[in-house]
Amino acid sequence: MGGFFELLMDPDVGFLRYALLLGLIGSIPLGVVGSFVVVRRISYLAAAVAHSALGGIGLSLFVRIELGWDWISPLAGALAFTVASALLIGWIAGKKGQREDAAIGTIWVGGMAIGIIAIAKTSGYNDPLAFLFGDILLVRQGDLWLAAGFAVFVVGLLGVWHRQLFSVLFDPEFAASRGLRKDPVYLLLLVLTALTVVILVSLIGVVLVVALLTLPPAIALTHFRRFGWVIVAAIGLNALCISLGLWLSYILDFPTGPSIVLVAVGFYGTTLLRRGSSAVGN
Amino acid sequence: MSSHPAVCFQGVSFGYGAEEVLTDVDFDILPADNVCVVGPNGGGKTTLLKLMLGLLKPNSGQIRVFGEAPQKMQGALGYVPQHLHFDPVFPVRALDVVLMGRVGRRSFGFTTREDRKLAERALDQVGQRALAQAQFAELSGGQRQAVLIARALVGAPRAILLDEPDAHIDPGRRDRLKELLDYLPPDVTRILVSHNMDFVVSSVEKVICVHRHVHVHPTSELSPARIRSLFGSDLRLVRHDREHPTAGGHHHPPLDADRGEGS
Repeated sequence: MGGFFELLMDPDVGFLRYALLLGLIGSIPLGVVGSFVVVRRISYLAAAVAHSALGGIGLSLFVRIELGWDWISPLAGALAFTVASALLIGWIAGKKGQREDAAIGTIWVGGMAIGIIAIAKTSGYNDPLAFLFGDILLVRQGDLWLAAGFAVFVVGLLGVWHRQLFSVLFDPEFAASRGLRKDPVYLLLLVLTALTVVILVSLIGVVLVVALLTLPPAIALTHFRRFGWVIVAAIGLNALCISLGLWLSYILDFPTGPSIVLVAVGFYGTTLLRRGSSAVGN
Repeated sequence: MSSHPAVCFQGVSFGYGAEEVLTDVDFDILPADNVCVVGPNGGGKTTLLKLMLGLLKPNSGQIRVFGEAPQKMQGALGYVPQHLHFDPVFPVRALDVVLMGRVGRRSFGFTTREDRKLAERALDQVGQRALAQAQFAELSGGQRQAVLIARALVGAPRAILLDEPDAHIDPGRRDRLKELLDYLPPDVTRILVSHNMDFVVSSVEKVICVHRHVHVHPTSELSPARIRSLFGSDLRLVRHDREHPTAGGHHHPPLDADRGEGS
């Protein structure tokens, strides 16, 4: 354990410190947005939005290297793709008579297919696994400022609108009778999901980020009966999973993203087992 | 008090797609009126309510609520929906549900102390103050219904619209609900939808009969023949002898009705 903390504090080695700080800052939007995603049971929508990020990453790499458009970063590409996917899914979900599940599936696999092809056709070595499952070496100092700014933005936005959001998610018909429309609220939630995914994509990848969006709030929901406490607990659990996962990946020499996710899966499994045994005991 | 009717329908028609549900509907509900909307299943009762609330727009005709378009008056209406399909693991207390009645388009930031006080008072009005901290999912059907009525009342509405509030509660709770509705503030216009004629509460002054077309009758004039033509089946009407005070202080012989044999 000593080696881990020494490396964390070493001023000449930034990557581990950046990764931990990004994870801790990212825990805030993950916990806040994830709690709304889980109570509304739209984890599959969040997963589709997250996976579509690969399309943006792949295309931005392609145009950077093949066309020399250096001003486009993979993060900007992921942002554009996920926000567009969120808006598209939200629009389709609001349309009556549309096969929402088919549309979600199309965006999910379509985004990934575009990303993999674009990465394959880009000169040089670009490992798709780094984007799918995260790579600690991809985290840059600039990502921290972006994540911090976004955390403030999400907390501020939901501080202002959380009552409207909560009301619409609980009973859309009553909320509509009070002048609150559900479609803009769903769109807001999906766009916030897209932004959260993009922030953490370098650390844990597009495939695994959904685990941190959903598992900590799901665990918190089994322990807390007030929504405010569910959010606080989800933020804390995310920070714990990311810190423990980073440490485990260091001492066991495991990939970072999967290590973080396995910690979250472990906590969730333990929660289920405890609930199961207490139910049997009762 | 406003000189406008609480609700005014003028030549309103509405349909879902090609199928017309309401045709050329004209009626007024006056402020502080206590009316019941009755009719067979699929007759257009809930549609009528949703048009009043501005949740649906008519294909033709005009609707006014206290003299304005329904969308402008949503804060003046308290609504108790027929079905509440909520997630049982949704972390929400009875008090949180009532507080949702204080949330509108301009509700930003956190709940105020005033909001909380009004929500507790609304729970008190429906006799459920003790349940404020209870999880909504753990309440009985009758308790939930009372909490939803408190949610409709907490915004100090000028009219309260209840869509089949008796649909999911047992007969014992139904009597309690009738009492509760009778004790709502007298200056609040009450519009109650029910397909159960036996839930036409004693103090109801007018009955709006809906079956694609709409006819308004004073409760005392509702006859078995009219109900048969509306529901397409026989009903047994029971007229009570005792008199009940109405919202406006008038008295009328109240009416109750049960489905008779063969209905």
